[in-house]
Amino acid sequence: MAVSFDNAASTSGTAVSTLTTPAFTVTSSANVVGVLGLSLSGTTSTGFSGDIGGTAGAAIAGTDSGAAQTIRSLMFGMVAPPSGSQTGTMSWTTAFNAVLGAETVFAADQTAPFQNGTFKTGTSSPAITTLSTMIGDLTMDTIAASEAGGGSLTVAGTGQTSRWNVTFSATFQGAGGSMASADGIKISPSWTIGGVSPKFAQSVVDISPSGGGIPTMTAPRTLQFKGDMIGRRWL
Amino acid sequence: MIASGAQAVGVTSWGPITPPVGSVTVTVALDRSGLALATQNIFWAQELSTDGGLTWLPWGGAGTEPGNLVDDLLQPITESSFTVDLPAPADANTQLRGSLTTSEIVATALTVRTG
Repeated sequence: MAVSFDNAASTSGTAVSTLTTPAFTVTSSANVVGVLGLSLSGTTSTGFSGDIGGTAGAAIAGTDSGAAQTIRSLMFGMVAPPSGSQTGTMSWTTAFNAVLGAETVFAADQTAPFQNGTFKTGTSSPAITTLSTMIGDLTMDTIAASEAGGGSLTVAGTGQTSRWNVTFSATFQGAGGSMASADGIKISPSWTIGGVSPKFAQSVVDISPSGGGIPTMTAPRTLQFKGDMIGRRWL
Repeated sequence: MIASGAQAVGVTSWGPITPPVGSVTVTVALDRSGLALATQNIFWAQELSTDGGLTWLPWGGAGTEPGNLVDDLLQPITESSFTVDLPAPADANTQLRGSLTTSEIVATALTVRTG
């Protein structure tokens, strides 16, 4: 069964070092995984922590854009957050403007669900990061963007769904989305950044399904039979 | 919602209030002008009722560090805040209430704005 979207909630803050989302309902379906996506207007924060419903998460390896750009994106993940009405919270040192999204999915691997975590930064639109995936995976991303004025974010990836999108100000936006791997080859979460002189930091991670994904067969396969022949029968 | 002044240590509650009908966003802002000499983080949060106060759900929260903060233009940041969307435009049954949590006596205020 493919990883499936469950629910999401988001909030934004001015000069904050903690954010908590509104309550949202986490499914009671099996194999739930939660992800927190954080967009920050600055890059010097440390000491990140996060949870959904009190289930602590950990930084998803490879997704923290750090100081690669003037804004920052990163993702936290946890396995099996509690079902029912829950909130998502992240805390850090050094207050900045921030956008926080919490998202839950189900039918996800419970041992090592977060694969291929990565980030990309740039100074042009669109923001796009490509991952190699397998059928059944769900790719999630978080983006922080900045422009000289009149900024906006518009989801642009084929099959990508925006889960939260906050135009905090003309010069800072944060958003997050998810998209399923239809062909199990490559997947490219993408956002169009409005305004002039855009900058972005985009974090992306692949969520593996419970039971493993299905790799795509990209070349003809040859079947071989080996065995001993006695008479005219294969044994 | 919490008038300006010295806030006692612990949790100070505000509300419930009824936002203007049709409101779709709520911002809860903390006045930073008295935080220069504070030493502890401050937290504030909100709850939402859509049934006239019968049931409540957590509806956003934030925390901030003490001290003087400046923006990219080195101008003092006068407030910290969080903003959330309401699940539907506010009606006569929509209510908000919340809290301010401090670990030391600090001069501040909380303001609720809707949009």
